[in-house]
Amino acid sequence: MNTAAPGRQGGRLVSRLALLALAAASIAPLAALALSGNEGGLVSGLKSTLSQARFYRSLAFTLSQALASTIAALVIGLPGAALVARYRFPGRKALKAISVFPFSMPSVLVVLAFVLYYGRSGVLNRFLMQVFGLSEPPIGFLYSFWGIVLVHGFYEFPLILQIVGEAWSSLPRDTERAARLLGAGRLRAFATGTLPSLAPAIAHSAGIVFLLCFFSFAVVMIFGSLSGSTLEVEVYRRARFEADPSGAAAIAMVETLIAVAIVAAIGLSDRRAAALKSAGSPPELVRPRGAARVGLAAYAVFIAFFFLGPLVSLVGQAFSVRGSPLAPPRIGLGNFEKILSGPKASFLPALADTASTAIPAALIAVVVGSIGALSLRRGGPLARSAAALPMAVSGIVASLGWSAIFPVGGTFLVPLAQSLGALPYVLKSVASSLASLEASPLEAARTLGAGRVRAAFDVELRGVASAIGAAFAFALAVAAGDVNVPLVLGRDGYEPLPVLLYRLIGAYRLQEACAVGVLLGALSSLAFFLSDRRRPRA
Amino acid sequence: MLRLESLRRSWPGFALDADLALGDAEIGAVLGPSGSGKSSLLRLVAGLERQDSGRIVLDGDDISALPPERRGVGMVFQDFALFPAMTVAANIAYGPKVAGMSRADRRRITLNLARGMGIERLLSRYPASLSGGERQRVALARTLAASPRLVLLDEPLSSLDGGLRRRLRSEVAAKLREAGSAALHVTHDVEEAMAIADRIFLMREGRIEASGAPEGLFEHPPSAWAAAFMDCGPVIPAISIDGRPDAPIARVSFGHIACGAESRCEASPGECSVYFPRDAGSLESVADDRRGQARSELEINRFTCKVETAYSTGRSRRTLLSPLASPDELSFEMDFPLSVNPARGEIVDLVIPRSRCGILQGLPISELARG
Repeated sequence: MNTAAPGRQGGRLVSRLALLALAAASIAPLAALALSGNEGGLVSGLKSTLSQARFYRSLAFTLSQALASTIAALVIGLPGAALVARYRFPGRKALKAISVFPFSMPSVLVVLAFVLYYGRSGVLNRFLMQVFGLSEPPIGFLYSFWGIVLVHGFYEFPLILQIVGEAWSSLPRDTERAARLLGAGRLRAFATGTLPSLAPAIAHSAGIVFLLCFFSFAVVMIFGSLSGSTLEVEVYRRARFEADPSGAAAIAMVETLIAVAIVAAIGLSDRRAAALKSAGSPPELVRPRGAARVGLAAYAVFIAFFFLGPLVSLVGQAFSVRGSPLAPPRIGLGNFEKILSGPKASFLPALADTASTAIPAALIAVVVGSIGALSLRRGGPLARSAAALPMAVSGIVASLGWSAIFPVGGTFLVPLAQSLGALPYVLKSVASSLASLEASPLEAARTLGAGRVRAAFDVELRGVASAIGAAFAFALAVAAGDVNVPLVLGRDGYEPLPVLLYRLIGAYRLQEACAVGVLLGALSSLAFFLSDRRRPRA
Repeated sequence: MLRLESLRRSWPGFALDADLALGDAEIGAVLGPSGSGKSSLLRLVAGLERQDSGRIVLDGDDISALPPERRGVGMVFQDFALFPAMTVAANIAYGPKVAGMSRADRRRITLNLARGMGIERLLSRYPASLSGGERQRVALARTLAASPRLVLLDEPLSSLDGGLRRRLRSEVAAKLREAGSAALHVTHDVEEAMAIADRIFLMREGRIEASGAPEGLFEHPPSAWAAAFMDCGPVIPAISIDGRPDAPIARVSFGHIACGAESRCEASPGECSVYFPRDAGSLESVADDRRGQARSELEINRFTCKVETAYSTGRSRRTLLSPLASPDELSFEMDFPLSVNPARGEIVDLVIPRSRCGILQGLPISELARG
């Protein structure tokens, strides 16, 4: 007699449906885009695109800039990870906190900061020209391949710092000590005792940074126009300006396929990390001495000069006003007045537009992501693959796909496409919070009379409420800072903050752009601050 | 009343096959070593796992196919499984709330139980701020608040320290009897099972090996394995069994042991053991001319032994003895009154009354390992 209960099968069905919906949310736009590729269809589109030299130039550019950017982020991030993991020093928390930077700062804002700092008439060039009496600005690579790499490196290194730093600080140091006691030198002991356990975290963070740079759009649109374009920019240009939907669809397919491979590789490194998870208590932090002290100081100066410099100059520009073009700048709130109350006041309408799409996008992402995470907890490898799919679909591809599904278009598509971008973060955050919950309270709720669904809501969702709150803030900041989707799906009259920024930069109204940027950055940081305060009670 | 009828479930490398009957308001202890399937048995009864075949009957209703929430079975988990995001009061009131009781009724039940358990002052606290003992009480109160027909307890005392564990086990038993619901308590601690249960189910490798009232089971263990697991006293492999069926005499490596009439071993002599409780023997001094010599093999139930160690357990003198006649350096522990205090290395005679010796089926665990 087999006594599998119908309730159990029903539960499985619900979680399978949830995952199917999750996978469909990423596959549907892609499929729509493929089918919309008109007359010749996808195959002929692929054939003609794959025979163009322009496609291969773009592919090579995409991969090479992503690789160089990942290496740059590793070079900047790994020393920081080592310092955060091993030493106790003033500013350690602040260094760890910059990990939210890539998410809370819209890419357009970062581009603006880098222009102000590294641009031909930027702070750094003016400083160097003054100090060394130069007649020409010495730094001129911003609008080139290396400019893109520099921006990406500084934009994404906090991710490496956070992921590797966290893995490193939870590694028991006993294996390294054991290697030292067995006669290995410092370096060899590190290579034997620590590096193998750290490698998956390095691979994982590098994989994510590679994927984000692979999908780079705004940075490449602004800095890369002379040196080349990424596949993401190619899709956008062909669809939006060259009336070549089948070419756009073909490139979108190739781009997504490569992204799926990258996501799969990240998944493999995750599994390896889980297999290597070592037991034992994490080591105590120590005060840096000798060489470590010098290294820490050098790193602090480096970060302050190259990373904080652009941000400070952005804030500085926002508060700097000139009476006339030739008058010296002075500190004032003129730029804020212009965007908030002048005749061309644009901030508040843009804020309203941002809220009208970012809040629904964050809500969709949180609802779908939380149900997906609950299902993921009960699912196998197939479920994990379904949940990883949204990572492989870029904002531009999702936008074009949704507009293929709803050809009438409209701003209502913006939250749909943006929610897909925020979904992986929500899933990851809620799923990891769920994983830390014990199974027994859920079973206890069942034995106390709660059905499967009620137990999941009462125990699991309540247990991860703070993670869901944080994920909402996260999704809100990601959607509010996104420029890609509004650029593709935006209609006249709809201008959210990142698009406003983009327009102001294009019109060289940089000081107003800075003022918008400061307010946007402050709002994003506030959302993160609030989400971070929502810790579980007791 | 709970009845498990040929309840079967198999996992890779392990199979559970159990028959069990527990009376109304009776407290049963499922006792067995780690990995014997005790917790799995409980999870099957609770509906947290599904059986491959067999029936679970509670108060005449077949609950085998019901989901956990409809079985009327409560469970106290090993880690207590309190809801971390709810206060103690909300934890206790959870079952009544799910059952749709009014706020006033929930409050009354919660307060009554909290008072009874002495946890009234904890009601507004969260589980993370509670001590182990407090969590245990909250978990029991939460389970009882749902008025289950059967309470399952999955080693709920195992994470607590010794003194608290002893105090709480009598408290748990008292509360369960007060509530009048039947209970099945899983433990690997013999003393705990003896203290709590009306009936003990001895579990071994997925099967119930024996069951019975605690004292009877301890005094007359049903097999060599049971005697060894419950640590009742020495279990010694028998070489052969002679004598009349109503007065069997077992030959062991160091002599002959006459046993009580009720003991029996159906297996061949090489697969039987002799057992006597640890407190069954008495020590007698040996005449000077016989020191260092073994007694004749024909002298029954009297063995000359060397005292290896002797120490006080606080209640008795635990003494490790090795019979001089034993060719294989066998030794075993016996308990004597504290007034008996043999010196280390002293040669003594151990006398065991025939009525307290028994023949058991099977070999002691060490012999099985050797074989």
